[in-house]
Parts: sequence; C-alpha cells; structure tokens
Amino acid sequence: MIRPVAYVRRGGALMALLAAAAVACGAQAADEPWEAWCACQTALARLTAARERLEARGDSLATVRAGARARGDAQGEQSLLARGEILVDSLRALSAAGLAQELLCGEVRRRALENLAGEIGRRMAVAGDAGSSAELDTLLARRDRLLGAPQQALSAEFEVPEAAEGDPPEMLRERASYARDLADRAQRWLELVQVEEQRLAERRLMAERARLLRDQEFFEDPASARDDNLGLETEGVELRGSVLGALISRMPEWPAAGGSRPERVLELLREWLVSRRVELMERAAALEEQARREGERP
Amino acid sequence: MSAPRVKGAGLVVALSRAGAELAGQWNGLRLAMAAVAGSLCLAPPSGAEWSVESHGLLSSGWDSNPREWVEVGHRRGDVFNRLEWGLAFRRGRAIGIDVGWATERYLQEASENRHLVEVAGSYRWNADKHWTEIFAGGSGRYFPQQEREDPELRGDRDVQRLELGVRGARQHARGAVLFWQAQVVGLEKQPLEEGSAGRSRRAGQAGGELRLNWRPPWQVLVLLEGSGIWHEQGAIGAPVGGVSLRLGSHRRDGSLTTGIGVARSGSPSLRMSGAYQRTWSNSAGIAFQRLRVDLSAGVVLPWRMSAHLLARWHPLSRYDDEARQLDPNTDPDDPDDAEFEERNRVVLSLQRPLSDTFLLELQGGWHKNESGVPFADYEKTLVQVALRYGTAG
Repeated sequence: MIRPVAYVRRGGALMALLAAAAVACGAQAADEPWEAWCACQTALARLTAARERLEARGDSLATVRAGARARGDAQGEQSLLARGEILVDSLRALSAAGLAQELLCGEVRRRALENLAGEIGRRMAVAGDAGSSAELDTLLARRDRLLGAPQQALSAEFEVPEAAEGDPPEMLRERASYARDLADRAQRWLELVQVEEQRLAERRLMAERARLLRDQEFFEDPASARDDNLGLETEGVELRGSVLGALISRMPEWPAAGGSRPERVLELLREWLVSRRVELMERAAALEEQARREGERP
Repeated sequence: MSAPRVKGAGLVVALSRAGAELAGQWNGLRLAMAAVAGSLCLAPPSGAEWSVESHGLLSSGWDSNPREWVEVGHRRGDVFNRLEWGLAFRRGRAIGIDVGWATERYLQEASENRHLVEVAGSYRWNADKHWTEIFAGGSGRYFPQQEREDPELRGDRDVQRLELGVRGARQHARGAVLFWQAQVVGLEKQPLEEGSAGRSRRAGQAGGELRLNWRPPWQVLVLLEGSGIWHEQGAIGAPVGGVSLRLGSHRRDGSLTTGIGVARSGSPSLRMSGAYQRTWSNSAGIAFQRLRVDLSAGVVLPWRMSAHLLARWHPLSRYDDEARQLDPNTDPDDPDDAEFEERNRVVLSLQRPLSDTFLLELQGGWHKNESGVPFADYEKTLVQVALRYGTAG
C-alpha cells in the first residue's frame, strides 16, 4: 500500500544521507591555485609526451612506407598513407590541445602568482622582523618556482622569425616563406578550434534539450505519456571524438580551472592563434619588403 | 578491493537499503538496486574516481489550469513554485547513480501540491565504437494526504514507476549509429476509491533507432518500437447486442510503432520524426492507431543565450472503423467520437548561463491531453522563470 507522507519523509532521509555522502566523497575539488598549476603542468606534460609518442609513430610509419615503396607494394603504401593522414590529423589536434593547455596554465600561473603574492605579503606583515617561518619559506619557494617556470615548447612552434644581421635577400625570402607557412599552420589550427566550438555548442544544446525533456516528463506529464512510449535516450551519445574534444570535455574536472570553462579555453586559443597569425603575416610581408630593398641595393 | 571501490560499494549498499525502505513491499526496486549494487561490485577496476555532481531548480510560474485534470471543466489559474534538488554520482564513464527530489506548491490549489522523487542507476561497458548499459530506476509522484480536499476519496493520483532494462549504441560503416533499448516497466496507480479496480500495469518494451548520415550535419532516422502492456484491470468483452461484459482475464495491449525522421547536429540543431503506432487490445475488441509527430529544435544565440522549442503532436488517434461500429460508447456517425487521447505539447525555453554554476531560464508551454481516463484529460498553459544550479558544467 502506498503511504505518501511516509515515503516523502523517507525520501527526505534518503536525501540527507546522500548529502552526507556527497560531502564525504569530497564534492568540491581543492581550489588552491598552486595545486591547480601543478595539475595543469602535469596535464601539459602528459600531452607533450603523447605528442612525442605520436611523432615517433609517424617517423616509424614513414620508414615502413619507404620500404613498401621500395618493394613496389602500391596497395600497402596507399594503406600506410591513409594511416599517416589520420596520424597527422591526430597530431594536429593533440598539438592544438597542448597549446590550449599551455595557455590555460599561463592563466592559472598568473592567478597562482597573485594569490601567493597576497599570502606572502600577509604572512610577512604578521611575522615582521621576527624572521621567516616554514610556511613562508614554502610560499617563497613556490613563488620562485612559478617565476622560474620555463617557457613551454608548443608556443615556440609559432615563433615569429627574425631577420639576422647581414641576411642576404634569399635568406630573407626564405624566412618570409617560413613565416607564411607558420601562419598557414595557425589557420589550420584555427579551423580545428572552430570545429571544437561547434561541437561544444552542439553538446550544450543536447544537454539543455535532454534536461528540458526530462523536466517535461518529471513535472509536466501527469498523464504519463511515457506509458506507451519507449523514450529512447539517443542524445548525449558520442562515439567519435578528437583529442581536443576529449580534452575540452574534461575541462570541468580540472581543479580550480575557475573561469576556465571550455568556451573560455577555446576563446583563449582562438585569440592567441589569430594574433599570432596576424603577427606572422605582417612579419612575412616586412621580410619580403626588406628582401626587395636589399635586392635593389647596388 | 581498492578504497574507491569499497567506498562506492558501501554507498550503493546504503542506497539500496534506503531504496528498499522507500519502496515498501515493492520487491522490484530492491531487485533493481541489488542489480546496480552487484554491477558495481563486479565492475572492473579502473583509474577513475567517484565524482559527485549536484543540480537544483528554483522556479516560480503561472499555471492556467491546475485542476482540470482532476475536476473536469474546472478552470482557474494559479501561481506555483517549484524546488528541485538532485545528485549524480559518477565513476568515470562507467557507473552513474542519480537521485532527485522535487516539490511543487500552488498558492491557492493546495490539493495540487506534490512531491516527486527519482532514483536511477546504470552501469556502462564502453568500447571505441559501441557501448552497452544496464539501467534500473524508480520514480514516484506523491500528493500529501493532509492537503487533500476530500479525505474519503483516496484520490491517489500517486504513481510509482519502476524500470529495469538494457540499452546500447553501435557505430557502423559511414558513421551510421544504431541505438537500441529493451526494458520492463511497472507502473502502480492506486484505485480512486476503496474497493474500485486499480490502474496498475506492467509493460515490456523494446525498440531501436538507426541514424544514417545524409548530408552532414543532416541525418536520417529510422525508428521501430514494440511493446506489450499488462493491465491490472480486467478486460471487457466485445459488445454483443449493445451489452459489454467484463471478462475474467486481465486487459492486455500490444503495440507496434514505426517511423522516420531527420536530425541536424550543431547549432541550430533539429530533430523531427513522424511515426505510426498501431495498438491491439483484448479489451472491447479495440484496436487503434496514432500518428506521432515530435519536433525539437535548439539554437545558440548571442550573449551566451540559447533557445529551445519542443513540440509534440499526436493526432489522429482513432478506433478502427470496424471496432467503432461495435463499441457502444461511440457514435459511429460522429467524427469527434473517433478521436481520443490526443496528446499535444509546445514548449519554448530561453536560457542564459549566469555563471559556470547558475543558469536563468524563461519557459512557456501549452499542454493538451485528451482522454477518457480519469486524471488524464486536461489543457493548460504554463509560464515560469527558473533559476537552475548545476555543478556538472
């Protein structure tokens, strides 16, 4: 027999039990900016290692392909070529993901430094001339480590070429051509970002739609139309996904990425790529102009 | 057994006990919860840790017609407030446990105040190109006894629903994806008055949806569903000489649905399907047909806003002409009598995130449900402003 009041009371007890469980499980991740930066660096190192592994696989694939060509195995070579193209796509996505992570680490580093500066200032004001404490030493060591953190390698992939003293016109043109290649690469990465932004918008719409449908069933369907409808849950299913997509989907799990929602990370990446592309194009034009002037000089 | 697994299993045992307590004599929920607990214990160890997400809703709105589905012809609008809270426990992409509770209170129509609860668990096997999931869950709708107008009328619009099933998806060549699902459902509805027949039912359902890539981002959908429903109430014999006899056997309905549709991914997103459903019953020799047209669309707007449209148009439900001639309750010459249980709905929603955690929503909807079944015949318009909370991002 249904006893509604008793069920509601028990339901309340159940929710209280679950709330306690949620607290016990640690629903809130630690939001120490320092820990966030460490986690960010670890993730970046993982991505860099994955990229290096992929590059190594690409090298070995190229070797095998050369062998297939030497044997005259056209079919094998074609198959290896297709695999190579997939590998290049993955590599590009992984590189863009690494760059996104690097930019995020930059933001987290800035926040961590601000936080540390404030904390160090407070502790020093309390300690006065009494000397340092262990906690203060730790904070200072962390600040030094943050300040001394080396520039990451991925940003360097888009390093704007500089003209060296006494470069002949041919060298300048070569540098200009290299700058244009880099700008093209930035453009390809931008296309990748655009795809991810579209995917993100799609995922957002799917989640909102699923929530809306669930609400309709939960609140608005007293006649329970579900009685004779199966209600297949076909939304929110993703079987395919790029590395960048996988990275973006993990964003909410990142500790203290506060303000670093997936849209923000893609925005950071897009802004950075656009500015670097413009810079590269301008440098290419400047180098070509310089080469032209050098060429005209008697 | 690793610490997270022990913690997870402990949590599920606690959940199972609470769920069994909640279910009373309903062994089904106990079995379902035991299945989830068993799945968790048998789950292969993985690096994933348990995560907990919470979500909530606080809304206020206007219901043009909260009582018509109880009292035919009663039309008086009222203000309602809703509060919802839920938790989702996840372990990687494999295990999910969801619990939710909501309450809805009306300013004047206190007898319409209600509580809603929901518990669900699932375990998923993931692979590169496919996944399979077992799921179990229960939901309930309860109207507080003390707020009922007539205590004699058990008025138990209280409903409990339990389900247990398996579903999955598999990706095939050229991006085609097949979704499938099979489930058993139990729906318990109390009789309206002491001694009257109950309206509980059990159902077995199975179906699938095939999505074929057409011209990206467009897809074509092919749907197929079948179901059998066993009612607690008795069947009625086909009328002879204008007299219907109650049969000793229980009413059994079977139905088959087939349909096609189109879907568009990205923004704007769209999903539209049309399906034909035919139902056979051993009661009153009835067979009827229904056309099911469902539409949903969504678009991301500037200023981080998004808009959604949900529409359901289930017209042309009618008896077979042959059955209509036999049914004493219908006038074969009246076309209106041929239609019943029309279920229509249009909902428009405008949403905007206020932060990573909070979201503001403006929603308006029109619902129409025609039925000869008590508590299922109503038409209403709802508008509401809602503040949603969610930690899932």
